[in-house]
Amino acid sequence: MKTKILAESKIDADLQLPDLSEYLSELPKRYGRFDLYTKVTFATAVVTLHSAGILADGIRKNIGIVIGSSSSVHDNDVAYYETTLENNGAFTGPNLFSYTLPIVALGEIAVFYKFIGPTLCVGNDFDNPGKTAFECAESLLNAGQCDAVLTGWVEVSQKLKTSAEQLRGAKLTLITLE
Amino acid sequence: MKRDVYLNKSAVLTGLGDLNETWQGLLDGRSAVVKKSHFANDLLVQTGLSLNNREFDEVRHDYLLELIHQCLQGIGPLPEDTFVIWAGSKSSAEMIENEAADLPIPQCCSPEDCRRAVAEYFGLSGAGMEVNAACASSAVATALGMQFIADGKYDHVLVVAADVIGKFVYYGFAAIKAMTDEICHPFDVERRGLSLGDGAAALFLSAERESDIRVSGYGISNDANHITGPSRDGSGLAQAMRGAIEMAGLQPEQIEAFCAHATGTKYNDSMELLAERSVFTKKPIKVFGIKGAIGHTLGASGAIEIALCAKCLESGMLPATIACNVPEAEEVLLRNTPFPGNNIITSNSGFGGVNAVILLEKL
Repeated sequence: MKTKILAESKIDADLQLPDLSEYLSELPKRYGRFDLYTKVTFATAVVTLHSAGILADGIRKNIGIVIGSSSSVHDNDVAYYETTLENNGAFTGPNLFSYTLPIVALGEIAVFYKFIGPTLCVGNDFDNPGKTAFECAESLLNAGQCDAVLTGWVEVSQKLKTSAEQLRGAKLTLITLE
Repeated sequence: MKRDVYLNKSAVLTGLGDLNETWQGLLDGRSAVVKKSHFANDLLVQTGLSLNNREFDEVRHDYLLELIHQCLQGIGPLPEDTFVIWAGSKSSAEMIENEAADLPIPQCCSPEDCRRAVAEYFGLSGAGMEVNAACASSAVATALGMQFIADGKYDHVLVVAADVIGKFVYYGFAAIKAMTDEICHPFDVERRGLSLGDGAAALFLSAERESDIRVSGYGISNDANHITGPSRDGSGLAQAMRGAIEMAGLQPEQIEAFCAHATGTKYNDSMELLAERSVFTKKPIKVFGIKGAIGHTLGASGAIEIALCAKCLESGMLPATIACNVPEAEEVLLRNTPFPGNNIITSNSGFGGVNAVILLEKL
């Protein structure tokens, strides 16, 4: 079977986020706590899924999420670790720690849209951004693990020079099999 | 046409030692989890940790790389075209800790660095990728590896994962109140949280049969419920279990044992028992967990448990659930138990709501 693209959207290198009120009647309760990686991933997902007509309607959907990133949540990692350094860790930020795993951004999308398919993060090749994620997504579709996959890449780090100089922004695609 | 996938070689490194030492330690009922004040901190003064031949405060440069290399010694030569999947969950933590302490930057600063170090160790072509699915990372990587080989994309895949317990993860798990102030007691009615552990694992999967262990199925799902807590009804894990069993062409009653994630947190362990009971309705299944012996080894835990499940199949024995005194359910093993079965499943669940299940079959 062939892979069919249902919708796609992107956020440019300036990381200007769309006005989500144009797409959603209500933001996730935790939205204000999202780190930048999660905000960019979530916003790109909202626009992509809106284009495909997929709603956050509380109905479970067997859709997976596979996203590639090289810089991943590095900036949040550093911000989190800084909170551990005073008073022998007494002021460690539990919320920041939660977002030190990039899959948590995927989890926020899954919780909001009730996506119960596979979720995983993979690396990202700057020469072919999103390629690894796309290939994994196709493998999971072909294996019958889910009906569709939201896949692509997200790079937001402003502290890791290598990624900031080469690639910033996000692009997500919703794919299925035809 | 789909190809069979074999688990030809496994290696692990835990607080109990290498694969054979870890396996023997489990059968002997030993635990590497030690409760004490591991370092001066104001967040969680005492807890149990399982560390690999080191003290928590000991400064060892490139400790992640050391752990990886020690583990890989148990694998031996590999075909040059082996595809490497790195599945450590926090590969940059050592670098961030060192930067903050003005210590030298380690060689492995990122997942890509770790994957390249593995390829370099074996002199491989360098093809590979990195996977992160939190504490289910290496189980998800094994599932992908299996799929790639089954599809004919690669002939050989090496899954490698390692995570070191440093202040980055210690403070984080303490801050979210997931850690116990003693040692973890998986499946025990009095359990109060998890114990962390150093861990590394490598699994060599291949289309060429050199062992009697086949990776016969997998399932990956999301709870779609909460980003740091498991679903209360176990439906996500049950979905992944059913997916793995269906992929293997089996019925639930043909699975005889379940190596659970069993972290020792209240909600995780209850969720797993609910999932298990909702899937294995016709015939009881034997359940055990190993984290009372080696702690929660984060991204490496799935691959360690897969390697030990292969030991269960090869030896015909299931280990007791170490540090479980009064089990929450009667199917939880408190003694080493003969295991004449041919099929075993293991599962991991992690932050972000992910669940991954791997099914192994003895041929």
